[in-house]
Amino acid sequence: MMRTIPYLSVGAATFAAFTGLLAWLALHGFVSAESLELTGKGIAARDGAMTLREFALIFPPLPNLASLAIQWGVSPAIPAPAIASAAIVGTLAVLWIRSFVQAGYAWSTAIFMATALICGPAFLSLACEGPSAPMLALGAWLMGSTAFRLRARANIVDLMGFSASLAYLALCHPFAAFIVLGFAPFIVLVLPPQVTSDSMIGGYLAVLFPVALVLGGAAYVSWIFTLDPLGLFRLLSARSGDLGFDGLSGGDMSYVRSGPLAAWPAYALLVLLNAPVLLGGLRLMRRRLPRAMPLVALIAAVPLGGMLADVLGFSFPMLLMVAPLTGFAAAAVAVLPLEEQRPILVLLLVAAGALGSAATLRLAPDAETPQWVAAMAGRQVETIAIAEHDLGAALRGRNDVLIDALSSPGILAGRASARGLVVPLSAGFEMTRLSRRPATRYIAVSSADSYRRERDAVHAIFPTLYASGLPGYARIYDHLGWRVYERLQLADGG
Amino acid sequence: MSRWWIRADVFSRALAAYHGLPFVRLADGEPDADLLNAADVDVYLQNLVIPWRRRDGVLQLATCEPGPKMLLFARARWGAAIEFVVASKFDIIEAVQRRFSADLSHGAVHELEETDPEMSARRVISRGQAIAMYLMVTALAAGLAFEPLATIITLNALLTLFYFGSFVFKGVLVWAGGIGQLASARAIDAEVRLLRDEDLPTFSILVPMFREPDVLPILVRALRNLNYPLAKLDVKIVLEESDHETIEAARALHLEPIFEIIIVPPSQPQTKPKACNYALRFARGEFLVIYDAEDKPEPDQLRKVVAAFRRAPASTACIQCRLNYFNSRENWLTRIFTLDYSLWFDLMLPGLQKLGAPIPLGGTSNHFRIAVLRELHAWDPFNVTEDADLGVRLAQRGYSVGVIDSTTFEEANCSIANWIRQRSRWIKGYMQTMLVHSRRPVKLARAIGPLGVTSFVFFIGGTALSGLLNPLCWGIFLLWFATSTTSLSPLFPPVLLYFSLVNLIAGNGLFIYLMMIAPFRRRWTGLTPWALTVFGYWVLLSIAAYKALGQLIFKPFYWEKTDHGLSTHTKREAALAVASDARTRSQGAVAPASP
Repeated sequence: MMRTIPYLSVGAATFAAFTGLLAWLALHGFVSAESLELTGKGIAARDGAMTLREFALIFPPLPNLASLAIQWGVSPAIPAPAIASAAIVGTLAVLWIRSFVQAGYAWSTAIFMATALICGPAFLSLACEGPSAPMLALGAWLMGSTAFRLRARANIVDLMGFSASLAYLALCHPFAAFIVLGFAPFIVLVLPPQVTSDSMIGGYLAVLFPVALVLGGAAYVSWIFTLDPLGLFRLLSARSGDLGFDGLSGGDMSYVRSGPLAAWPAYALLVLLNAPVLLGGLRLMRRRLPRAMPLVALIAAVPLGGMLADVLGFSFPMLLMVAPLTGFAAAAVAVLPLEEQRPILVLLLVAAGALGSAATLRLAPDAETPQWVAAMAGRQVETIAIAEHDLGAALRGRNDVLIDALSSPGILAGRASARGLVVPLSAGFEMTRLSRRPATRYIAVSSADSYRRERDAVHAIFPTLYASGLPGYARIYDHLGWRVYERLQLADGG
Repeated sequence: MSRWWIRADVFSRALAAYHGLPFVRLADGEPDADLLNAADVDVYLQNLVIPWRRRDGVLQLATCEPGPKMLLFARARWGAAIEFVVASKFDIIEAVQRRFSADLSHGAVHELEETDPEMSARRVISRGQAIAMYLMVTALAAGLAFEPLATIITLNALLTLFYFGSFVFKGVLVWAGGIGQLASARAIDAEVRLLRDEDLPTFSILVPMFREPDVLPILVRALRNLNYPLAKLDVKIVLEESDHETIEAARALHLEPIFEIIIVPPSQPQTKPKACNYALRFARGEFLVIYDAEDKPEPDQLRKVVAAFRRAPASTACIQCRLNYFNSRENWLTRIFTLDYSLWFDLMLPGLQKLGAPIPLGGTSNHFRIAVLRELHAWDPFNVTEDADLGVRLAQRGYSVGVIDSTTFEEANCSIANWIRQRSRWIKGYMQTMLVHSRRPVKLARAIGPLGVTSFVFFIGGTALSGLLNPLCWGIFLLWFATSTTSLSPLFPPVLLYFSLVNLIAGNGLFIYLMMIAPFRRRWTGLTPWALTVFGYWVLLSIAAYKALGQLIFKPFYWEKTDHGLSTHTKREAALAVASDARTRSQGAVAPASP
């Protein structure tokens, strides 16, 4: 117990500090699109607007379920995504410091290194946007740590931990699934030779089966509910560009669209900037090369994952890659041989990573980076998902609204309630879908030019509604790609 | 004598001459029946001394171990008016057997039942259990009559919970079992290196056999190869009196005197535990282990067990070693069976030990403190998985079981029909064990705690129950899959449907995954892909479960005999063992056969 108290204190302090930071950002108007979306889903679940189908098809499930659980378990009033983020960042601090201390670093060095990793500006900005990125970093750290242990000890718990971390990664962010794919060819560098000597295929299967199970399970659930086993993945592919980023691009390097091979130098630069300790680790462990093999796999995983995502038509912000790299760096720090090297060298590499993180934020910002930087500096900003937020605010107090709020949960965050909305899969919505005649007082639809068009079920029913309106309905709202119509006679009578 | 450098009778004669005592053959001069007391049988057998005659008021004791220690013991037991004659060890054992065969046989069958009837499987269902079952069936019938949908949904929910609990519990077990295994194994290895031969205790080994003469040489060779002083081994080859074939084969091997052949007189039930109970009376070791005839324990197993007992608290009554197969890659069945055994012994039992839950002991290679075994009245001859039952009884009495990293290799069943016979016996035994120990549920819960009860339910009850329920679940799934019927929808309210989906995907997936990683400890990753075919094995399990249920009702004590020696590997092993025996004899290390 006495040994856990310092770690618990560190966790609590980190949680408090990070919550304070999020409060500061919120005070200056910064609310990320991911937070808005998760909050909206929480509201939908609370108000019974989400059916089992929506629950089952939630992807990535872990950040969503974490924030839903907090909203249900603690209070619907608190900003669940922020609490989830803070809790995971606190957990990362505890786990990382503990692993560093167990590896032989002094407490002060361990705290400094964990702080440098977490407070690297790129990682910090991602963590402020929502729980996905810290969850990704946690998964990457678990994957890295268990990979090193598995290579060194060949223990069953390490094998389970390693394969579970891969499955966890696949559940915490779509990009993480590509990291796992990118990592797959290098699993041979993680498995101890005595394990693969009997059968390489068996070793691979034991590691990758949980990932296959998770993805196969997702396809099966998708098939059960939509009769389309690949529907979930198609949806993800369509949405990957705006997962938490609302489809807006940042700087020149924020999305790579010039082909996977051309992107390779950029990915390599990201590794060099954010995780120099991985590359330095290879040098430090040159005398224990068999044990260092997982380092090679970790270095290659993120760039290869990014390239695979590009090849398969998914486009993720490059900044996102900082999250797994930070986790890998933390895992590597704990295995570097201290008895042969001065800890200061490792510490310098970690500090260099924090500087690289700042450079990354400048070179490859995502859509929300400018607002985050401004809010951090104490300037007032507008949330990037302002369109959904404003629409939601405009719909406050209005009931009997036909709207696909489940595809744009930010609306619910702005409205603070799902009650009074007629959303997909409700009886009213399905009747409208079948009859193609609206029966609600209000109808909200997104622009045909908007990226939201693909997933807006109202737009699918009334493709010309946004542009031409409907007979008997008058436009009462038109702002940032959304329009709301109200039934005329009621409007007159009202 | 343990190496046949001298014959037992020659040695006994020499010993008599050395001590200046007469040598007698008890087969020619039977002990006086009036001097023998049934209550003293254990004294005779464990100390190898027996009252022989009375001459001029002096009691003559026949012993094979004359000396100061025996003198002190005998004086304390029978007073100062005693004198000794020397007889061979076998003469003494046979004399006791001849005189007390009926008493020993009765004790082997009825001791547990007579001392603690609630713990005996002699009665399949107690009155309380019968009433409880009647009430449950009545409630179910009433539910189906008045609220059929709600009743079926409730049953469905219970089923879902059972499966969910089962896979979560087994996942936790495997994880817990993997933590700290290496450190524990290293500590025992270090302790083994410190053991000196002279400090090692006498170790009794019981080898119950029935109609398996061909595999006997394998075991004899394996026991000779044990890294343990042969003179401190007390091996009992336990044979049924009706099994002339194996008795002849055992005698034909002309085994050295550390091997004693114990002939069990005929009585019902004719089960392995009854034979072991009978032989236990003859055991003289501090510890005792059971091996099957085709077993090949790792040479340092007994030393590891002694080291483990020394490291363990006094409450540790048994050390279970791992079991696995030497013919694992013979065919599909042996591969999957090996995965199953690896999962059970390498991953799950260490988990049970770590969590302090009762361990259903495996059929062989469980090493007991012999005193505890006798205190618990040994095995239940009416239970066909007597070891699993004994594991729960040990836990109920506050004893614990340790698991160590030493393997006994056996022959994996390579024939499906033979496998179903074996597995149906195991499942029937688990059903018996479940019924016996649920007779006093409150006492059980108090004795083994909530974790123990969870383990008991999922490990012992769950094994049998899942075998019975699986076909029902598969049937429902296949019906829905093939017909896309919506008639089942009312039985699956949303939450239940979601849980059922989790069970279907995560539960089955986890079980397959656990099978996949089961051979990891042994680095047998070549077996891993075969885990993908485990569904066929589950089908066989269900067939065995229904056979077991039928037998529980109609033939509860019937011992389904598993045939050994079917494997080509075993035949090769047997041939090697015979050749090795012949080679050793030709090199003169073994003395000429003794009559």
